[in-house]
Amino acid sequence: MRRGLDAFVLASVLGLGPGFAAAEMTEVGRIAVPADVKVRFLRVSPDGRQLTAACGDRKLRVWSLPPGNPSGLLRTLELDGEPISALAYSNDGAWVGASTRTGTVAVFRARTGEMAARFNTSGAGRAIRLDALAISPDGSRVAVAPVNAPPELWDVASAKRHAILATPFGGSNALDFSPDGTRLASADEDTMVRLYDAEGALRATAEDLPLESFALAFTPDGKHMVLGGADKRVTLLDGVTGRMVRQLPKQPDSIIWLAPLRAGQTIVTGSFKDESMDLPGATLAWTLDGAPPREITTQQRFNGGGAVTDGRLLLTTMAEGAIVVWAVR
Amino acid sequence: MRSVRLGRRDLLEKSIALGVVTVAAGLTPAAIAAAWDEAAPRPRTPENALGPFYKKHAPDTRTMRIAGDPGMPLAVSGGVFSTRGEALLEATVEVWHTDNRGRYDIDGYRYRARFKPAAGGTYAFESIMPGHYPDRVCQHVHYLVTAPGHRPLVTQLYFATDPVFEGDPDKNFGRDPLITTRELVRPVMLAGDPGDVHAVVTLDLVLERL
Repeated sequence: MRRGLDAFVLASVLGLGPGFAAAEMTEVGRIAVPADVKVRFLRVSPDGRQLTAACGDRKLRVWSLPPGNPSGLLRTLELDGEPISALAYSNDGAWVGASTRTGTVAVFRARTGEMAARFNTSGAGRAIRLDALAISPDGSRVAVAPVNAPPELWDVASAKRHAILATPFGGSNALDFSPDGTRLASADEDTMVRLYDAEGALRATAEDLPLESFALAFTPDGKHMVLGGADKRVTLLDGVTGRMVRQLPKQPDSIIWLAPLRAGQTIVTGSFKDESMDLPGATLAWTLDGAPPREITTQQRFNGGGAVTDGRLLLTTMAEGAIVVWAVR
Repeated sequence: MRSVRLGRRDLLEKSIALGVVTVAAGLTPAAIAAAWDEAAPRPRTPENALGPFYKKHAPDTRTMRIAGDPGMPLAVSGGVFSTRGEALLEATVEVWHTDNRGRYDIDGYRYRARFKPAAGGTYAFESIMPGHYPDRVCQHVHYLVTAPGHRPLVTQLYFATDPVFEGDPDKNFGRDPLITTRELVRPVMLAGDPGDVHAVVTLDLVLERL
């Protein structure tokens, strides 16, 4: 009875109806955000010590974690006043990158905020929105996903395009480098998942997925790639051959984001309803033993997060004048 | 002096009339003109976004509408050509759209089809007028067209009758930020009998050589 009441109280805090199980989510703290700053989306660094937010004024703001320090704003970064379209930390957390709707990419040292490179990926006088990006662990390469076009691999030091990756049509929804930096995976709009080496040469493809994957990530050990998308399943592919290893049970909602946790065999997924990609579905925690997923929350609109090396997943929501940081156990 | 620029067909008809071009017995000028037009270079059909719900392995059919389906019956037709004007008989056309409530069938294959062009490169399919998907402004039909030796064409068909355009697609097509050209907003003809009205739309699909 008491347990149910706790769940109801937490559900009320989250703005949800009664009857959902939220016991696995706990509030870590809140980061005060100035009234004139609108946070659009953010990423938490893999070491859990900072988060970078893309703000409505087209600036990046970096706050320290854990929350609680009243002057937790570490720095504000700008990208020529262009709207920010994607953010990513490298797997080791040393680098953070941002892309814009007009094709600009900037790479910063996460610890200091020093800009290591900035370049524009658009060609032939045409600004191309970048929908996703990934940074290699050593910060030397950036993979970007231009809208409706094949993904590209860029060399950070020379600011030159190193390779255009191979997709026959459409663009790419998600990109990730393997933890050792030797492989790059892309979840493409033609429903294929492609695996490249560090030079951008195609090494493997996963062709037996009928629908698009919207989210893709290597597991922390680099042995597998985890996918989620319109097929409402979590799919595990071999991280070297691309061969399908396992599919977990189908769920009611399409998967829009996922995070393999650093410790154990757990994957957390976020979803959206068939009616609209703007309607959040359940947030679920999956284990690879084939057991049904545990529901963490439903209909919660997270605006960012990241898996942390201590095994937690930090997720964020917005409240009046604050970023609320939640930990998923 | 005002100059008059003749179209290809006008020029052909004038040439026939003047005797510059002679026509073999059994061929009418109209048939010759149609053949002439078919071989004419064509501008590439504008690209448009693939969208998030493309699904492979759609059924081989030209009839997506089942009797009793809610929504106005829709007949779409056109030709599949190269930019040189050649009919692309080896092309594969894939189409998909929402039901009349604006929902994609993600679990199955309702309102999803793939087919080859018929003789002369023509294609036609029957379906229903799609609804408004909540994340998009306008009703639309997705196309993916592939043909050996040609760059795949990803595009979408829009309807001039969409209420979003308020009767003036020339002025209002930009209300959907994904519509980058008026060319993809097609006129809609209502045909049939009073008890069986259906919408008729055409869209040619023109692919570039690799």
